[in-house]
Amino acid sequence: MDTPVEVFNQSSSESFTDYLSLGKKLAILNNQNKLQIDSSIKIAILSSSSMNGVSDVLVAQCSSFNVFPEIYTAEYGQYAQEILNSQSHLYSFNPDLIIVNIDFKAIAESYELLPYQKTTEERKSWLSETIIFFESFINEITFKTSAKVLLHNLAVPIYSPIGIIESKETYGFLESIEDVNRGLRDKYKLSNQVFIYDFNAFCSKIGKTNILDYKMYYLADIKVKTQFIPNLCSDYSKYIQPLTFKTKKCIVLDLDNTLWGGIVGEVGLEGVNLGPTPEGRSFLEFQKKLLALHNRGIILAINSKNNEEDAMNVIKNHPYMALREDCFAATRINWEDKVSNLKSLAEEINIGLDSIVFFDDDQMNRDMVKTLLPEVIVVDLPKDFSQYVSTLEDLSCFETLSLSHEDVQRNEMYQAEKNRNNLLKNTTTLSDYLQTLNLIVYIEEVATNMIPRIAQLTQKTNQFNLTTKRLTEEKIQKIVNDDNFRIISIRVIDKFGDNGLTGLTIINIKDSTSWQIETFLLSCRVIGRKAEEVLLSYVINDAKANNVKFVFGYFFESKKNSLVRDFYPNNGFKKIDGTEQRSTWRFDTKKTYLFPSYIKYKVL
Amino acid sequence: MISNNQKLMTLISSVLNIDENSINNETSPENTESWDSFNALVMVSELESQFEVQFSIEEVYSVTCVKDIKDALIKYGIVL
Repeated sequence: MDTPVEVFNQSSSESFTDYLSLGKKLAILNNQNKLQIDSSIKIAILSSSSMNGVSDVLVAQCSSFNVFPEIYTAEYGQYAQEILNSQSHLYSFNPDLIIVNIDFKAIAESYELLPYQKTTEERKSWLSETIIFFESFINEITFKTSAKVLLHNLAVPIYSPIGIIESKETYGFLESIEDVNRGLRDKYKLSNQVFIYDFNAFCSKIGKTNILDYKMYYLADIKVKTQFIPNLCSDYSKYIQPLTFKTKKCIVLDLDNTLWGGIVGEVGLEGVNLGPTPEGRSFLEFQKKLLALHNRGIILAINSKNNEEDAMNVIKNHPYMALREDCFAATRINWEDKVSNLKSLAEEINIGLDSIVFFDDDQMNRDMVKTLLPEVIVVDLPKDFSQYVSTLEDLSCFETLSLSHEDVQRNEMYQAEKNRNNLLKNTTTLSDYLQTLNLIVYIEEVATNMIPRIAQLTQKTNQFNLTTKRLTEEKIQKIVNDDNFRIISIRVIDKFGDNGLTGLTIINIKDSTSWQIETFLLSCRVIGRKAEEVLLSYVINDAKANNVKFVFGYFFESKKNSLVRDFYPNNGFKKIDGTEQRSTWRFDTKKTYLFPSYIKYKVL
Repeated sequence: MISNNQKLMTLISSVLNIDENSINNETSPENTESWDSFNALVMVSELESQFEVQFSIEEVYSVTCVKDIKDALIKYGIVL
């Protein structure tokens, strides 16, 4: 049985018809139960014009990141009925993502054809009416579902009947449409449910004179020419990847002819191409673009066949090197094969291979990684260096729906982790090491602004996760508002830096004599520092203070959580019930629970 | 070089998802399930871009089978 990405790798995906037949093939395999689906998402598409073909192409593109979406495309032009009727298929389908494409021609045909039949005042009121029109539909959707909404903005026409004096109008036709876009963007800036899709920018990128084929429009109400549907779906994928937690975290880079031109072992520091020359600028700008990604939280690492000394000399001393030593979370500069290096990098940085994107100019290295580590994204770097920047910019795998504080701080944290590992090499026992770290654990009841991070933790934490319950932001919000539950989080700080919000527990306190720990998890970056014991002791002591007799914990086995199989027995809980796979544990609050005295904690 | 006839067969087979050998002059929406109205338009787009021609709406409507596609192409000077 194949996974979607395996089917994708076996098929060609160059043209619209390739995508169309790949999408159909995947659907057939799925109907015959011949597709191994690990990750899925329900997407509803509402549109004012024909979206024929979009569904198949989107299925095909999602397979490239191993997701098989279930898609409901409403009859075109039926968006209002679907949105307003709470019995409609849109709502019974229960989508995770709703794409709303209501185009300018559809809502304002006569305005588009005869813009200056409206007076200046009428154009101004058209603006406010149009924003209200969109807002009222979006309000209906957000009132009835918790699905994310992707709302197309309007493609601003390039033609005006008054031509070049359009810009002299007191309040012009084109200006009024631009203002709709501005208004919608401002309205939903702070929303974490509604996202504005810049369809206008998409049309500009393709070319507004290319995107609409009048014949297809008159024949079948097709407003995006079929050959550009893959481009549109690729933009939708930017939202689908973070929603299905497929966002990549780390870029692993080769050095020679990737970060600089030439082979440093042969030409030395002075000989490599890097700097403000025609040959060097490709690499200089490529490095700066990578630095910009690093600054927003993407981890960088090196995997290069070189003498470490030669390579580090360039990294440390070349005047135009934009990426210095402290930009890299880990480096493998040696003569090992690239595959072993990637594996050990993943282990050191503590991320999965499926979080890695690999850049290497050498075709053979790329093929080897593609074959042996199919979960790594291998970028097909063009032979022409000057195309490196655009290749990087075309990658859509780093998208997130919000930049959490942790994302931005992540690199500082990995740098601190490097220092911690060095310290570990110089100290003798684990408890010695932990004492020298000066750990402080901040314990805090969850506030609304932490919800995105809390959801992210429940979705991503695999190893130290007792019950592996995946929760959405909406679900967390409900729990926060429910008096029967408490969510307690921890933030771990040591002398090297702030690890951010890295652990949490969700407790059901409905029964005043026994509390149930429904979720208990810890991010891998703080495993092994006994912060979990601080959190558990806080729960137990708080239970005691509230005259709760027992605290119950659960262990649900998953593919990846064997690390915590003995967490409860090791912490004084007694087994009440259950099997190897699912067990229930109980702590009697008459007992005392102790944790290492060298860890300080503060309750916020 | 690929002949125009071969190019046409590959195009039809890939859009309609059918075997090239099963295509003949009488292949039509009546006897081919995948030849629906949308795929007909996809075929028009593909023909226009691969053979660098522009059909009129009347020509699009006049096509009822593969033979008609060939006739339309011949009209634009494509040698089949």
